[in-house]
Amino acid sequence: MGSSGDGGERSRAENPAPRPTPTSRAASLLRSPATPPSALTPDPPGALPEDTFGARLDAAINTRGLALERVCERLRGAGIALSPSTLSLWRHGRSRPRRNEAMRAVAELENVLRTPRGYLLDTLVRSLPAHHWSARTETEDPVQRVRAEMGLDEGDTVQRLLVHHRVDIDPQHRPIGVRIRRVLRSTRETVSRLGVASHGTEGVPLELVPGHGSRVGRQRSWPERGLLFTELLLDVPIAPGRIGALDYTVRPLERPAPSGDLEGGYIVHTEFPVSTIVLECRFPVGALPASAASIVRSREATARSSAEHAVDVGRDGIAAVVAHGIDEGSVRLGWTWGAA
Amino acid sequence: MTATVPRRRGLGAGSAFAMRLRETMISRGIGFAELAGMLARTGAPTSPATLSYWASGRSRPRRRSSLGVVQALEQCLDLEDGELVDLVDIDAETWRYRSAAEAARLLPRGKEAEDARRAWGLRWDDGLRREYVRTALDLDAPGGEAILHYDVVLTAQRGGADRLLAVLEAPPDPLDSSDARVVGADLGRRVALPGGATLVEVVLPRPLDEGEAAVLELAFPLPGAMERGRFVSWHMRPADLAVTEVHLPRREGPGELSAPGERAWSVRRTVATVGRAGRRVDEVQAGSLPRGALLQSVMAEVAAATCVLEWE
Repeated sequence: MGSSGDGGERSRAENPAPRPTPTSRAASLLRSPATPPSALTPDPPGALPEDTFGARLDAAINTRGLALERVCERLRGAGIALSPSTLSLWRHGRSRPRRNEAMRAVAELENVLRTPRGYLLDTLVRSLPAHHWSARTETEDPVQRVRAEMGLDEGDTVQRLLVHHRVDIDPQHRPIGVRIRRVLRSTRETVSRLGVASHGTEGVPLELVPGHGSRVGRQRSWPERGLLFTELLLDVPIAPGRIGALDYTVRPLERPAPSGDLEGGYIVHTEFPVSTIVLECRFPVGALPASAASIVRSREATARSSAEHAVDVGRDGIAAVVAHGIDEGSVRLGWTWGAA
Repeated sequence: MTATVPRRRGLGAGSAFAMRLRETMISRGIGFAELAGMLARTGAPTSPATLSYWASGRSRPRRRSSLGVVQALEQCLDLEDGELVDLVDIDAETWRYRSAAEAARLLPRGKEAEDARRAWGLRWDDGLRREYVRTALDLDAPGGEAILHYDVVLTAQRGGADRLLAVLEAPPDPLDSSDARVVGADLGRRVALPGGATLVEVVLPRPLDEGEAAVLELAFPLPGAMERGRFVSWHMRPADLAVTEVHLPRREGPGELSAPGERAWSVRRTVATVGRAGRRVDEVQAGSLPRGALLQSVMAEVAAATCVLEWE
């Protein structure tokens, strides 16, 4: 089976057939262009530029006419520590906020600089510009079509604070279920439903079992592709600025044949910035892999951080890796079974 | 030994960090050169001139790299973890290194928990970053019994970190129940706190390497939790995300929400947090929820917190 993902986050079990890291950017397709923020409110006057975070920040600072030190002072008044040098790096596009704390600073910056709500945050949660669109990938990824049909493009309305995948592996080396836990902050609109795409083994239908606090809405399935799209309805919607946590489990409806492969792996891929990704694999005690390793890739990662690191499989059969500030990238856990 | 710390009355001399540093150096009889030597030996070399500027209030630690120096200062001066870090505002990371005093300001049973920690010889800063803490009361478990869940994802901020303390809103006995489930850790010492809570030492199977991740899960039955109508989560140490949940019973089969006209739950969430700014924030939200719903509160970037969920 599988794996699951959603919005811009997707993942894939590589067992039984190990695959290369998927590089599809399909999840960002068909996203409608953001509403021009200058249309939302008349303040600040004049059209603000639409492009990158740095350009927007620069324009907002210029429009407000505050020195960087003054901006930081006002942020401090709101309990946010941000140095003028960091602000300067952001403004000139030499770095950008990625961590959860930085995102909070950006939300407060919008107040201090009196920009329309979401003017700065939107460029961070929606990391890819529209020119990645192409007709070819549209037909390749039916999920995007359904997502658009159901109006479930969450790309620029939520900030992803945490994504935690827990993959359960059985003694025959098969992934038998993935429990996914997500923590989201709504940036602009009340979030009452989410679209969730789950990717499994081709030919094996999947089921999604919601945890407490959500129910399954509409669903579309492509078993021949091992694909399932689910609309999750939240019992308690997440109001703008608020945080909500939800979880659900994805399972194959029938178990795949036991795998004789000596290697396995699972990958969580995201198209959007995620503050923290946790990937955890649980192996049966008594059938632990001989070794495990992780690779974290992020668009802005340094060479060192994208190197392979050995991961210890603990006494209780748990192998876990935590990655922070993934802009657009993936976290992979791979393992090798000892020869039988 | 003569301390050469000036009692300066000038710009910034009154800043809390400068004052604390100055006074501690005087009371310990340590001069700038000696302190610089001690810092160098702990791997945080800093010049006597810089220390002098900090102690006089003419400058203060601002760079991200200075956070490690301030922590080393606490060690060299035999201060508690966080006592100086509380007073600086270096960057977004600082809130993760706050002192026991901040937690004690918030937690009603903070003093008892602190006493136990000291008696057990554990450092306040356990070297673990709590990425995510989920404290959940499941009133809708298949067996019909209330279950308390405590799930944590950790990463080690320094090598050798191997244990943490947790305050759980339960008496000590259920932890020893045959139905208790502990994954990814072992339970060590424990002590009952006033008001029916327990301080538990949670021991990892082995010391972690710096940056290494660990996942742990505790689950045990909590008889009578439903009738109490109240559930509390405690956060003594900083957590990036703290989720508190009560899974209210469903009316019938899975997925069923309340029937029309059926009485909903009256619920209340009371959150008290010390966040990055060091200020205490209190928030009360009351409302109603349909049957089978999830009563939840999520806090981000808390230095210390309590969350009380109530239902009737």
